Amino acid sequence: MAGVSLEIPRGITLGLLGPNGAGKTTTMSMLAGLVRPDAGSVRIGDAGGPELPAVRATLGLAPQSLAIYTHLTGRENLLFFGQLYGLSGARLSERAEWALKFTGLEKRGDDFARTYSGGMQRRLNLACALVHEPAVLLLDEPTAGVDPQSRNHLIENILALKQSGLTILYTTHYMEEAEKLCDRIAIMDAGRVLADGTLSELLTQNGGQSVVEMELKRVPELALPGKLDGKTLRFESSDAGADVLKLAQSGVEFETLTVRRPSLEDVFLKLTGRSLRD
Amino acid sequence: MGVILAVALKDLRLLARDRMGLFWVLGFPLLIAVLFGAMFRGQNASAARPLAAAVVNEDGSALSEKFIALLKENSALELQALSRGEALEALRKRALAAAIVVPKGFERNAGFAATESVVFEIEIDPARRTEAAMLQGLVLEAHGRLSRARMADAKAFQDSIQGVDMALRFNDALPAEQRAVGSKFVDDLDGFLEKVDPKLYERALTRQSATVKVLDFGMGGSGLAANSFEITFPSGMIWGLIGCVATFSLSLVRERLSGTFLRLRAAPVSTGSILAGKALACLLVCMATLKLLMAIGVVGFHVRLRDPVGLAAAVFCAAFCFTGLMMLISTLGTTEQSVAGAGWAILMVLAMFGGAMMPLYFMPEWMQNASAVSPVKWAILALEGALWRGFGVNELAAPCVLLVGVGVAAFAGGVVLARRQNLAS
Repeated sequence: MAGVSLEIPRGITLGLLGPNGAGKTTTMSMLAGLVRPDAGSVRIGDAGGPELPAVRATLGLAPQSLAIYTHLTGRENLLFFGQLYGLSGARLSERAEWALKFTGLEKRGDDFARTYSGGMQRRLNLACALVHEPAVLLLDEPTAGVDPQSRNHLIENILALKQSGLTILYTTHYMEEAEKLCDRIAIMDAGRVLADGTLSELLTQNGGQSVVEMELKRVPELALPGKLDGKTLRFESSDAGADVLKLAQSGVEFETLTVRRPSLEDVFLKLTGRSLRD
Repeated sequence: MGVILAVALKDLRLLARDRMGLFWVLGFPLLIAVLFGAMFRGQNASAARPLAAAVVNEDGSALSEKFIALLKENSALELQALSRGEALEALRKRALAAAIVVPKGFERNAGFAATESVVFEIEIDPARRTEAAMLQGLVLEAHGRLSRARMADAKAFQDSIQGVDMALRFNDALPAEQRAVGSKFVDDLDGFLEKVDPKLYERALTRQSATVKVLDFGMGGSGLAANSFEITFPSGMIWGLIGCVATFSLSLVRERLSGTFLRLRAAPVSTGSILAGKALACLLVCMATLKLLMAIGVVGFHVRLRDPVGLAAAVFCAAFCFTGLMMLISTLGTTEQSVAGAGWAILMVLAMFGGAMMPLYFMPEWMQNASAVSPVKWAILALEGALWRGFGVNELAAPCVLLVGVGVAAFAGGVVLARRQNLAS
């Protein structure tokens, strides 16, 4: 990490967006108290840092790699992790049932987790993070490697949690997820936070103009705006119509033309000079 | 405490669903106990396989044939008459363990007052030197029986001493006075043999003057072991503990690799509580394994429970010690391969030095001395002490205290290493 400073207001869903190796998981591990920062501090609410058991009790972690016991049933997993957070008796059973129902696993609760599909195991991974009713939820790429149906299910779950007022830190390298789920987004690369704000703030701060993409018939011998990748010309413009007309009048011929609002991908490209999935 | 119990119950549940793990914890030690029991039972003389040896008759006399016949009467030997060359070839090929050579001049020298003594030679396979002493005893015993048989035949004895008389009379090397004393003794003996009732004489001479009866100190009687299984069960129980340690030591590294340890560490519980929960599960399984093996021993192999309280104490201390070892071993690597390798390497050495693989008395002296550092030795001693050696409280206390001490030290070492690994991860 190279100097990460973030503040997440209560009830907000913050997305950490960045490519593999950007430092998202390390940031999350520091927040969960699994990694001690070399310098600086982590504070959660007014209570203090995650090194304190009372603070850790308010956190729910769904790690990137599945953290469930596949030789236990879904319900047994939930009951066990609930006990670790001090739940017992009727309250424990009630929370386990809620978590199963919330993640759509209530019919498979008594089956061994090893018999679940990949998507169901991901949902159980999320349920285990929720069973003790945390105030802050740390989700590390919760949809990584799941089929579209399970992904949608998970995203619906997370939207419901967001609407319930839970504070959520969400790491992903899927821009559409970040755009859909997050109130604020921090873009990370190489251990640094490059930009942090709401989606519209990020778009405004980093261009805020339309993105024009043209598939050229041939590459002309004249200076072109933006970036040329093969025969694909891509540039930002505050007046797309005028700029395209000007290019056409100067003899630039194109097969297709796309004018769209800028996306996080464009912001990321502008900030780092490379694509998120490079 | 709730967290420790929760972790322990979870680990027990996982073990119960792991058939292979259960085999190593319960099935394997039972097999070892039964195997060792069968091996020790085979050491009874009645069941022992006779020693296959060659006998080389270089004298070729009637007396040497009689000696060989007496040797063959012994059920501990399986003899083949061969030439020396054939016998050595059989030894080289490991077909026979030894060759007994009856030397030339045996008949002349085996008699009463012979001028030279008989020197038997025993050629032995170097790999079976421990059996040379037994063979030596059997040869001398047969020779003793031959001598007694010759003396018991009054007529034959009379003939042999006549030769002695002649030799004495014409032996110029002896002073005349000594020759006269010797001749008088021989004449008197000749006269005695002439007059003695042959039946009475034979009965007196053929009666075995001394016999050796071998009693197993550990077998039968009050306060000692009932059978060979009672003696070998402690070793089987140690293998049960080794199976538990090998199985549980992998659970920590498995949790690390599967990611569940991350969630355990993120929970508001200390690393010590998590490890204590794992240790509790291991301790319970170790004790359950030992008690189950004991129950099988009692029901299936007539092992007796004479000091249940002492045995319970020995079982607890042995289980506690091995639980500590489990914790230490589980932190000696970061992959299943490294922990399993370290575990079996350490446990095998401890088992070998401690006498769980072979009895301590088979080992060289330095190994017997070094065995004191192996908790396996003390665990076997404690279990034997409670099971059939009839140890009192004081005698049992020493190995038990030592086992608990090793367990505490190993557990503490494991916790320190685990904390270091957590900080490093």
